[in-house]
Amino acid sequence: MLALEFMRNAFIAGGCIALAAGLVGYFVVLRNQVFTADALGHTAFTGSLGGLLVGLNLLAGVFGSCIAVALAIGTLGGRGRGRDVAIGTVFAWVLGLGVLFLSLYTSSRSAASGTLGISVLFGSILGLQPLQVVVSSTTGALTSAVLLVVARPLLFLSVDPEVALSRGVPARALTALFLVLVAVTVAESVQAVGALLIFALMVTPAAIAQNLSARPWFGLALSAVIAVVVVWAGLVLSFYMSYPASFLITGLAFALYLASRLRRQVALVLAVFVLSACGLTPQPSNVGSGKVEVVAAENFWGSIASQVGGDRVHVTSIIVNPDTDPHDYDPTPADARLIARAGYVIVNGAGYDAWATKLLAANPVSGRKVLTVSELLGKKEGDNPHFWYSPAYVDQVIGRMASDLGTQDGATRYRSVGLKDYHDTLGAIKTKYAGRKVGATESIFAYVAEATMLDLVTPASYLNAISEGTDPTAADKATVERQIASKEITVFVFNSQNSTPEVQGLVAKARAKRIAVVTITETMSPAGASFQDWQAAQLKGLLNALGG
Amino acid sequence: MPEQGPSWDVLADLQLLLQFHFMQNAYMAGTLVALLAGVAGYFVVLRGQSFAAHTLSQVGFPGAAAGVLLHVSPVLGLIAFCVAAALGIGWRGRDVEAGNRAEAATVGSILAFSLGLGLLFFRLYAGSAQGIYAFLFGSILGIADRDVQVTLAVAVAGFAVLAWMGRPLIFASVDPDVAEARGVPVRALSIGFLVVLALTVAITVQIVGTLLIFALLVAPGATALQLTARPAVGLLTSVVLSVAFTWGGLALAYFSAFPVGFFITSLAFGAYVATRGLRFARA
Repeated sequence: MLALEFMRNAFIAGGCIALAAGLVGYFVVLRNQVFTADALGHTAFTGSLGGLLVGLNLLAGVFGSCIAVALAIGTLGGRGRGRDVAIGTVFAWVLGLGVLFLSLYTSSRSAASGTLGISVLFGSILGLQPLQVVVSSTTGALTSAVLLVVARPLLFLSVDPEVALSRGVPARALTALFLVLVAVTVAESVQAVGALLIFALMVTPAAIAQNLSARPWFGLALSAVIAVVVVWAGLVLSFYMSYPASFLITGLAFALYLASRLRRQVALVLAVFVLSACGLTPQPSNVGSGKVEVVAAENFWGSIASQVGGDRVHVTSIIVNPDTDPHDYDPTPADARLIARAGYVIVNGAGYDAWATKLLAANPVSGRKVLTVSELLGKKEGDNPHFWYSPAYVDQVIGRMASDLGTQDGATRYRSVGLKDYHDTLGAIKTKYAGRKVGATESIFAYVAEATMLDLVTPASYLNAISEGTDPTAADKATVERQIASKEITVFVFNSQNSTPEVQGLVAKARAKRIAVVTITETMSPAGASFQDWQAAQLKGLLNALGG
Repeated sequence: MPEQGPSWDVLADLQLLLQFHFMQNAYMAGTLVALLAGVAGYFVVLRGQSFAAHTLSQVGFPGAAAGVLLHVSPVLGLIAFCVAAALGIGWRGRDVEAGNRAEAATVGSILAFSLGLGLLFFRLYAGSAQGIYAFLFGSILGIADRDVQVTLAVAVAGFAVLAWMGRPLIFASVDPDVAEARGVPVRALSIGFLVVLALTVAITVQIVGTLLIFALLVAPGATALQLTARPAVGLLTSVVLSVAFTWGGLALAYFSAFPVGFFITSLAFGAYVATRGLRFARA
């Protein structure tokens, strides 16, 4: 497990973050400033996105905004009934602002807002980039050190402020310093567990410690130890089970908290639960002898690779479940292991499977070859990434795979025999129906329309928005509805794997208007089909809908 | 941008806004939500329970996710979890207070766990991040007819209950000890109100999401209470504000390309700050 770089990074960064969070969090709970931490979590969300939007690094945005807001809270400060409402309203607005920033940032880069938003909100400890690891570890260590230096006067000030003041403890300076420490700790915890789950690291371990002991120094140490244990145990569990790391960390913290309140009974129940969960053993890896281990991010490229490579390769695809959305897929440690052990990796690129690119970067392996389809085709992020729907691009990919794997004859056979039906159907559509107006729910169909010379009249901005999972503009929605209502299109192509309730509503309307609806899918469906069978079946459906 | 932008002709703008079914649904559901949230929200602020509202909405999040996972309507999942949480809070007898140190830590831990649980359920469903995102921040352009029906049912039920307990509730909120002495069933009212609040939260999440609930459920009531101490006027003001934020937010989102959550929170925040500022200036 520790042989994998991404796990080592997670342990190092996670450990330093947890140490700082446990120490600082102890005082946060002691000083009853728990909701300052929550407010700073909201700030972290908006700050990171704001920073990205103006072209800064995400880290600069999050640290800068948290420190600024913490000091502002310190100056304005105070609690009480009226304050709750004011603070809540302010921070709801701060989050709303973050939503705006996210929307602006992702639309200007045609990225999926959901993925970035979720990784800021829920953390991505298994996907930390080298810079993040360095920054987290150093700030975590520094924060812990500084806190330990001021711990004594801070404790004094927190427990008995009046006496502390009279004894000359520099209250204002110390309070300000503490707020900065809290801000920095929140900002770095965001990378590990996300802006929403900060409590799990900064409050729960401290609360557990304070439940177990009233002695301050012991409690402080206990808080730090619990935080680190919870993060490391959560990481280990996430490696062997396929659950999100941030959930496991939060869950463990919460379970321990319950145990500390209810002691014996809960501890027993928990022990049983944990032991049974540990009964899940890791999957053995499957390495064929002498064959090249090929890993494809998506099963359509995997299918092509296995037919081009034949006996020379053993192919595993990561996205195989038709219900999984490749745009927002959250890779598991099992996937990272696959990529770390592969000899040849195929990735779509152009922002479609950014998670795969990140896994590759987090696990550099010498001698491994990578085929990034978008690079081969000269496409970049922002271009329509659905290359496997274009016969011309598929042909280029086959050519490159053949030369990479050394199987030219396999490729030739595949092109002439395997793909014959596929090419024939495309040709039939082009010959009979070129120029016919059709509509689609998203950009996945665009390359097919090009290849068959059908006239795709749905606005491009609408197609892109649905494909990326952002909201289309109301204007585009209105256009699409008009095209259906007036029967301008004769066929409506629907991607059933990327459908929101509103898209389904459109499909229902099209059907009501007796417009033929053709269903296509993003990844191979059924999962066991071959690339050519899947595509040919869909194209035949399209041909039928157009009129046979 | 739409073919025709907004103009100074309000009637023409309205026609544009309501031309299409999805906007009609958005306005219907949004108005129902705003009406109930305006009334319930006034009581929330009066009773100092804004924190409970926040808790209910976050604990409801895994409910929405569970609903999606079990292929039932997420709103039903939300209702189930929110009402269960409301009963849990009410049963403790003492209200959740943000000021108390141990309480804050406990509730904070529960909130974090709820969000983590919601994340787990979404991942189990192999759902998209966009799906989670929509529940956290609201997404107005995809409200189906079924959702409007559920919202109507919940809103009617909520109103009926609030109308029935309105007067004793005000009494119990403003002066609980005297009310108790006069025979008002304060505890039963508390629990009843929390259940209504749970229902309100569940339908409001459709519009603004679990994280931005304050904008519709607290800000209008808080602003109203800044402006007047009289309950009848206050309730009316709260409702008017809540509806105004929703209608305004929807219209702004329709005519620009920006998310509705941003507009509603900004309108709510703006109004609140403006009234606080006015009071400050007057004082």
